[in-house]
Amino acid sequence: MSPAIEQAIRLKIHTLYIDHRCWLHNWLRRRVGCMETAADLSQDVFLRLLGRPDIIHVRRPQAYLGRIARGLLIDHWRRRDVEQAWFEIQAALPGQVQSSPEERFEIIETLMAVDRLLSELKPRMRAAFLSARLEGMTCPDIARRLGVSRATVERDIAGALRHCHRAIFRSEGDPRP
Amino acid sequence: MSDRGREARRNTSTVPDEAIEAAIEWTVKISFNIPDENTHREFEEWLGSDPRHAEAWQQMKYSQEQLDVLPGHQIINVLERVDEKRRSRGISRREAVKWTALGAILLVVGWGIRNQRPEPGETMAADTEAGARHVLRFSEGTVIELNTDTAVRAEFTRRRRNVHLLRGEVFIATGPDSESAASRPFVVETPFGPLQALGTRFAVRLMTGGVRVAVLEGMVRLGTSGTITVAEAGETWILDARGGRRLSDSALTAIDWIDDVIVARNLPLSDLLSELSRYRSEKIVWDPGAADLKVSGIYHTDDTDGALSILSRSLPIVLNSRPDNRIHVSLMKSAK
Repeated sequence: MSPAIEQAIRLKIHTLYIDHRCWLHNWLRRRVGCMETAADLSQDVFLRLLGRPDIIHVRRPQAYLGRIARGLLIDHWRRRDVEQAWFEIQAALPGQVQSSPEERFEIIETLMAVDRLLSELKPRMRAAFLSARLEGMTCPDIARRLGVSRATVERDIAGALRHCHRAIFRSEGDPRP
Repeated sequence: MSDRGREARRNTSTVPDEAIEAAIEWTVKISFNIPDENTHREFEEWLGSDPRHAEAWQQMKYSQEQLDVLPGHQIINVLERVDEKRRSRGISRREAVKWTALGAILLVVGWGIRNQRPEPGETMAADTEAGARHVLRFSEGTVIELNTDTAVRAEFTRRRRNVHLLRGEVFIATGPDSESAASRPFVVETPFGPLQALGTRFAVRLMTGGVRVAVLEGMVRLGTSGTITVAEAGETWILDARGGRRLSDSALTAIDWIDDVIVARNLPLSDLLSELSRYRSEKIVWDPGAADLKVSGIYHTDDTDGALSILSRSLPIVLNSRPDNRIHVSLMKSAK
């Protein structure tokens, strides 16, 4: 990115920040119900704008900011849900070895990525793929469980595998961590 | 991202889509089915015939590495809990997608079609003879699979989903019941007490002295108030007149029948014979002397004649057909 474009982006972000900061903060606060979280998230929205040359030409800034904010909001909820679920399950396991904060962070991050990835699948495809990949079930068994043909299960699983592959190898731009 | 991942990403452009599609097909054949020797050989040939094939295979493996972060059932647990939390917030998984992805309207339409409204009341009954199997499907998603010599009656009302196990053995995968206002309780009634499924896949077998419950997923509450115990995923329990007690067997063993097999690990022959007997109309009887022979192996319940003939070849036993069609198993003379 050339210094000139970088400069233009910074200026644009600055303008957007001044014009829409309050609106965005209120919009987020209505959804998370917490001033501080809303403030954090709106900061994150503006941080995301760095490195996005397309904002220079944005025509409807609120729609644009709102779209980024929604993405962050979903990730915020996702993180909270995944963290809670993980801690609840850990608490229910007797004699579990305590994991280090780094390990926990990595596990939560990975679980979030898994949840994000699988959320995008149709329910039946997701169910078939989970049974195969995480429960070690074979396609005929899954077909029986889901009450569909084996060919359907195999097609669903192939679709899920394609989806996983695309998410990592065919995504445009910067992949999520 | 790991170094390997970065490396794999860099090579993206060198792997054609056709190779990826082939790798997907091979994954389904090799990892999610039981491949025979031919399939294995063909796969090895494919893998070795072009470096781009090996690269495609590596990419497939890498793209799912995240799913190995924890044991499979723990990941499923986490995902299910996350879903529950979303539901309780009134945001379904689908809506979450709708927010992130454009064009999600089509998917939501598909979701609506998939979920038909449940009938207000639904009653089904079924039974199987020796050697037979049967599957019952309910509109809210529950599937009940009947093993050999089994009878059930299911009554789903506005408030409850009740299944009476009258005889034999069933495998139950409870439906989400997402269309009813609140998910209706799912209870299997047995002579030894009720079993309440809590979002679950489990197997139930009615035996002479009690009922055996093997839980694969979720939890099952055993018994009525006062004597309640909870059987969790992976556990096998017996509920009898004295209450519930946990067995050391893995829950997986209790559902081998789904795959039409009995997996014997150092099992007394008499136990194996009585199991095989359940799948035959002509029963098997045996001499006490043969009862304690130990057997190991996989025996097919859909071909019990075959299983018996394997046994007669590997053990010092003799099989005789009796006039009443029973099969009689005795120790070979020299072994006595």
